Order: sequence, then C-alpha cells, then structure tokens
Amino acid sequence: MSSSSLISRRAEAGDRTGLRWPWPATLLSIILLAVAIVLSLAVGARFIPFDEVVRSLFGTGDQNVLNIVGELRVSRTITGLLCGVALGAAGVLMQALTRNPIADPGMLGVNAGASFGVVAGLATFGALGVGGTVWLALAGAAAASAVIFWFSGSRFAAASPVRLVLAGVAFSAILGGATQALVLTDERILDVFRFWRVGSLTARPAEEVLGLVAFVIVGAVLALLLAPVLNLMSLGDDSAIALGVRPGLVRALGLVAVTVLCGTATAVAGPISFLGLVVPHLLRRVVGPDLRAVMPLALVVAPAMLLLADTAGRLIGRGAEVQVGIVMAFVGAPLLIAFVVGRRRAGLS
Amino acid sequence: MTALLPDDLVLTRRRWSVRASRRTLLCAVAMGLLLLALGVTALMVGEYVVTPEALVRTLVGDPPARLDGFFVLGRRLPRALVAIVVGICLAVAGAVFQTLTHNPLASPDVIGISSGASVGAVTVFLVWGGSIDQATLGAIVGAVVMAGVIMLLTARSGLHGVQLILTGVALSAIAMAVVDYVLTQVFVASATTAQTWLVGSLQGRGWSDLVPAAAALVLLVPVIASTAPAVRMMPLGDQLATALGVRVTRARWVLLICATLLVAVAVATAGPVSFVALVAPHIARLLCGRTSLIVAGLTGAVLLLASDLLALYAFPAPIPVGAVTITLGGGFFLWLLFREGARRG
Repeated sequence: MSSSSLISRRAEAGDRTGLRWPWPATLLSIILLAVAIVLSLAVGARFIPFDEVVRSLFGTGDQNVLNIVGELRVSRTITGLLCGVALGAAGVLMQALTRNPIADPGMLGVNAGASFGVVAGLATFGALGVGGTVWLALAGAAAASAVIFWFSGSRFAAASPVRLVLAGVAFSAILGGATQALVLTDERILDVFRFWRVGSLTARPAEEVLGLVAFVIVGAVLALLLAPVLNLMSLGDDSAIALGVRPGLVRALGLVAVTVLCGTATAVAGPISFLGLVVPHLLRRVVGPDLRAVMPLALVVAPAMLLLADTAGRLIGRGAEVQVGIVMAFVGAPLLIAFVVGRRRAGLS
Repeated sequence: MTALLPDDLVLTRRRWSVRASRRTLLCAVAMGLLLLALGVTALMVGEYVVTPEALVRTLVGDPPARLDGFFVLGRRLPRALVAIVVGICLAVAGAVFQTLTHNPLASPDVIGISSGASVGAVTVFLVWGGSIDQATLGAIVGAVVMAGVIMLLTARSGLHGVQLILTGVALSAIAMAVVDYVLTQVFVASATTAQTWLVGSLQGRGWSDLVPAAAALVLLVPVIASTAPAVRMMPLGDQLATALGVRVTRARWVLLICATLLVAVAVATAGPVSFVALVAPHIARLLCGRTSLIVAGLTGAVLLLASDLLALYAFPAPIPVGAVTITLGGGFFLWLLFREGARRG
C-alpha cells in the first residue's frame, strides 16, 4: 500500500483479493473448445475422419475433403469462434452492468436494434457487404443498448430483474414490428433477411468475417479490463464509489463494449439469442460469481457452445441443416424457464 | 354488493333481471358508434372512393356502378367485418386471460398462445401443404398444446405475476424458432406469404374467411358470458366461492378452453396480430372502470379496424396490420410495465 491514490487502491481491492484461479474449470473449458472446433471441422453432411481433417488443414490430402474443410467448415468455424467470443463477453457484461442474472443481449433487444439497423440499410441502399452491414448493425445496437441501459437505471427495473427483461422483450417487439414492416415491402430484402434472421454461421464468407476480428478483440479486451471493476460495482454504486470506482464511466465503457460485440456478432451471423444468457449462468455455477474468472472463461466456453450448437444443427437436420440460432433457442429458452420457476421462492418478483 | 349503486340501471322482466352500470352502457354505446364510423370510413375510402350516397344504395342492394358493388361488397365489407370479428375474438380472449390469471400483462399473445397457434398453422400450411381450413385446425391444435404446457408449468410451481409472463416469453421463443426454421425450408414466394401472415394481415380477406371466426364468436361468447356469475365470485377466493355454490374450477376450465379457441380462430384468420388482446381490455377498463367483455370486445374491434386503416393508407405502400399493432402495442406494454413498477415502488 505504498500509493494512496484512489486508482491504486481500487486496483488493490479489485485485482488481488483472494482469487484462486479455477484451473480445473479452465482446463475443461479449453478441452471443450478444442473438441468443439474439431467436431465443427469434421462433422456434417459428410463426416470426415480426424486425421484427414488435420491433413487437409495443412493443405494435403484428398481434394474433395480439402474443399469441404478448407472452404466451408473452416469459414463457419471461424465465424462461430468470433460470434461466440463476442456474445459470451456481451452476456457477462450485460448481466453485470444491469445487475440482472437473466439479462441477455438477444432478449433485451440489442440484437433487435442491430437487425433493424441492418434492414433499414438494406432497404435504403440495397445489398451490402459485411463492411457496410457492420456499421449499420453497430448503429442499431448502440441505440438499442442505450435505451436498455436507461430502462435498467430507472427505478422501475431496480426492484425486479424480470421486469427489465420484459421491458426488453416489449422493446424488441417494437423494433421487430418496424423491421417486419420494412422487410415486407420488398421481396428481395425478405429473401436475404429470412436466412439472416435465424442466426447462421454460413451467412458470410471467411474473408469478410476476418475483417471484423479487430472489433471483437477491442470489445473482448475492454470486457476483460472491466471485469475486476464490475466486481466492485456488484456491491452497489455507493460502495463502488467509496472504493474508487466511477460507475458512470464504467457503465459508458461497458455500453461501448456491449454495442461493439453485439453489433459485430449480429452483422456476421444474424441475431443469436440465449448464448449470452446460458454461458454466464453455467460459469457462475461452476466457478462462482467472481467476474475475474467468469469473464475470461466465458471467452472460451461461449464459442465452444456456439460451435457445438452449430454442429448439432447440422446433424439434426440430416442435410437440411438447422441454423444455430434455432438450436440456441431450444437450449436457452428451457433454461430461462427453469430459472424463472426455480427462483420463484427466492423472492424474485 | 347488495345495495345497487345509484347509477346502475336494472331491467326486470318476470323471472330475470339485468343490471348494468350507466357508465359501462355509455362506454359500450360510444365504442359502438366509433366502430360504426370507422366501418363506414373503411367502406368509403381507398383508391376508388365511394360517395355516401353510392354507399347507401350499394348496401341496400342497388349499386349505382358495378365498381361500387365490387369494392364495397366484394372487398371492403368482408375485410372490415373480418377485422371487427377478429378484434372482438382477441379482445375477449385477452380479457378472459387477464381475469383468470389476475395478471394485467397476461394476454394470449404475450404468454405464447398465439405463437403456438402460429406454429400449428405454419406447419400445416407450408410443410403438409394443407388448405386454409386445415391450417385453422392446425392453429387450434398448436394453441391448445401451448396452453396445456403453460398450465402444466403453472400448476406445478404456482407461477404468478411476471414469472408467468416470462415463461410464456421463453415458450414463445421456442415456438418462433420452429416457425423461423420452417420458413427457411420453403421457396421464397411461400415464405413471403407466410411471413406476411405471421405478422398478422387482413390483406385479401373475403367472405369465406369470415365464416369460421364469426361462428366461433357466436358459439363461444355466450358460453363465456354464462360463467360471469362464477367469475364475479372468484375474487373471494376459491374456498369461499365454492362454499357459496360456485363451481370455480369448472368455470376456470371452461373459460380457459373458450379463450384459447377464440385466439386460435383469430390467429388462423388474420395471423398472430400482436397486442390487440393485451391492449383492448386495458382501454376498456380505463374507460368504464371495470372489466366488461362487451366494451373490451368493441374496443378490440375498433383497435384492429383503425390499425388496418392506418396500415393501408398511412404509409407509402400498404403494410400488414400486425406491424402497426405491434409497434403501438409494444409501446403500450412498456407503459403498463412502468406503471406497474411505479405502483410497487
């Protein structure tokens, strides 16, 4: 305690107080991710044995396999990794910032905002590459998350986490209605939009997706930096201020991070809900509420889960594949119900 | 409530009597007049304008021009009637659900019953290539299944308040995921048709669409009305009401089934038009101070007809009526949430 400045005291309190790094969980997460990546490369309409996958990754082996793995599956695996990281981090951030255990960027309307931005862009400018789409999605996501944070700060949501989610659902519905109105004016938009909307990892070619890696990295780094401070904020604004945190600044940065992450993920893969809900929950169960552990692990577990969902979708459909957004809805919605039913007696009003 | 309020009207004939509050009657009459005015507007305006005189002559069976007859009798009248009937179905169902659950937010569209109906109808329509009538059956099956699932979850955990709503929202999400998947599996033309239907649209609705909805209304509303005495006793609590000779459980089941069927028929006719079922009973309650099925039904009809007129003429190109109701109704839902929150503090 050499320095008495507020910043370092914050660092003292936030960064070094008794976090025992959960090594077993970390190891498991990494193994899970590795398995998910391999499965994502190997499984599909045509199953490819592991050794051939490895060989084709180094550019040798059967030409057909090279095409499938190289062109299609590597591309969607990269997309999955990117979106998984983005949505996982955004989910943890959102739940921490709104102090709401059932917040999810998808349900709260951030993705709906991004969708609206994209469709408005499609309607105005015609077809767009991912470069243009991402800015529109970011603009839409920014507007929507600003509204959501305004909701969560108001007195009415402070009393009940469920109410914030409902407000988000209503807000999504309004945005959805406006989006529908635009989509239905033009059959071409609908044709693009109906595939984009279900959330699919094959919507974009890999080169376009790689252009967005920077966005996700910025968002993820911001999220990691915010994690220790958000720990302190979980005690409430007053305590956080006493510990040297500036809640306004943290919220603003968090808002930026959520916007960048969700906007990018939505621009790439369409609106995927529930991933941001499920992953933080799972992790809190395993490693406890400390965000310094939850946040980094979410960056590993979320892409693993998204890839597994995508792989499952390929198998369920038997050729006609089920998009990953749909699979996630089937995983996430029952979990939400279980949570709501289970928490009833805990006085969640 | 033995002593009648001074402003209650009592009509007595031999063995039965009817009591109605003046305010409710006034509201009903006002809503009826508003509905009539909107209906006349709907018949007259459009790209082909029908003059009042021509309208009257057309309606009595002597159209001055063939086009008058075509537009008024062939197009606009059935569409307006469908809007009115569907509006009444949705609003009555919404009022019943809100009363049964003691939950101002629990309308069938919010808790997922409309989504269930959508899944049923879309599956029959797109996957099995069924006709509209079969799609209606599909919608009924879907709605009933969804209501059953919600009841199961509710019965086991005794869900109340916002939990019920959130459970419905989650179930809705699953249902809509199924619908979205089906939509990606068909050609774009069918997808467009289905998509328009899924938002809720009255485009091209004719006399044949009117029949099932009107039949459901005529059959089910008397049944719902017959449970009114039981419903009035429910606030006393189940035990006291049962002791007073009211079959509470039976009344609840009858109401639930009737309301679910009304929703299913409405959804099969016009698609899952959102938020009318939520909003209409609230407006009716604000106006007349109590839950009146008649006023709620008329309000629903007014809302849907007015929204349809907006959807047709307020934008550069006609849009589905559901896009209007979801935007207006979503705002109303938010306002309700805020008000509820403010009350609880």
